[in-house]
Amino acid sequence: MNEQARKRLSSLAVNESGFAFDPASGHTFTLNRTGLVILRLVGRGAG
Amino acid sequence: MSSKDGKGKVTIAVSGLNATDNPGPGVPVIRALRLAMGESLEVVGLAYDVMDPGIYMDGIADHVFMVPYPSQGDDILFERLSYIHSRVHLDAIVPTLDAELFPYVRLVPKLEKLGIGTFLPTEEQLKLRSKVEFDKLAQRFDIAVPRSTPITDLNELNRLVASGAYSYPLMVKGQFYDAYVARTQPEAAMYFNKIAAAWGLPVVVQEFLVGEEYDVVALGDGNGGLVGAVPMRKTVLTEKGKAWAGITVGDPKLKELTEKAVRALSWRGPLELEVMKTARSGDYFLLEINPRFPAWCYLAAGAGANLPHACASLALGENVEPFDRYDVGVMFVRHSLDLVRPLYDLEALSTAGEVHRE
Repeated sequence: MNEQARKRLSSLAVNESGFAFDPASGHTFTLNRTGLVILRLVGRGAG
Repeated sequence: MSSKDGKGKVTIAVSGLNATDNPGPGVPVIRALRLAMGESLEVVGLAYDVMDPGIYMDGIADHVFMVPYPSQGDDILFERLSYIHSRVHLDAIVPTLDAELFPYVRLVPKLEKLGIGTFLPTEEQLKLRSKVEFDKLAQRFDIAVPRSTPITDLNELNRLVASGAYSYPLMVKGQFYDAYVARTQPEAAMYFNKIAAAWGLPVVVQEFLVGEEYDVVALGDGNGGLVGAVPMRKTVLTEKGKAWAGITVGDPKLKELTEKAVRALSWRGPLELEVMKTARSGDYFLLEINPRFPAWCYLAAGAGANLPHACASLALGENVEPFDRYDVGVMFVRHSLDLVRPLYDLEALSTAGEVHRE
């Protein structure tokens, strides 16, 4: 995963139930538990 | 904020009470003023149609006066405003509709003599941002815009397409309102005639860009500076492409573009920028500058940057500090409901042209 994509994913505001908001584009997403785990790992530098 | 004649309340007139599915900005401007000013505000609604829903909404206008359409001329409008001023003493007027801005701008010196404040662009600024002059503005100030050409007859459009300057799909836009995507020549012809009949000539042909649209509500201080700006993405659109829901965003490029446009025009007053972020390149194109508050401007107040209130304060001659922040991720969604009213207001507006509430 390139640095730009990692930055973008890390900038998402995500709550405990998997609702994500991209503050730059205004898009919202719903993550399942697996997606939530992956996103947290990416945020910690995995990938 | 205090009234100029010491009466205790500040009286501000606001137009554009047509809160329909293609809404005017009057009702949200008034809501934003009320949010900031509470009981110290008295609102005068200026209506063009006795069925404008804003007239009948609770907590919007304390007084409503019918006003003549802008096409009837500046003198007739001024005469009516003078009469309204004699009845309710106006401290400021915030006009909110494109078509009435030129008359109001021309009337600024006369309104000032009556002691009525405004915070509006100049005639030259208005002309520069018009859809007809838009291309020139972009060239002059190095702002990326889609290619556009004003045309006065349908043959010109056919020639532009035949020469390869434009291809379908393309946008067909009115000089004040309305924009349609035309995918074929017959569609373009239909929209050209529809727009020409509604808003007159020229009609503007514009390159069609694929991407995501963002809108920015902003207030320029008249010296090239920005009092504040709040961008949002439309999340639900009506059939006419109007925002039915939206959410504030925090893209710094939108702010940069807004600052550049406001600086280039030395814009004085409210404005709305329509910006397209293209899907392919991710570049930002300025589609349009509307010289007034958009109908979704209450979102800015809800996000912590009450631009309508700042505009009214400037119209009253007060100092306003620029907004340095707003909340990202604040959403709005419109709704429609039926207002049930006795006939009294309609009766009074239809006959006397005014209605007053205690």
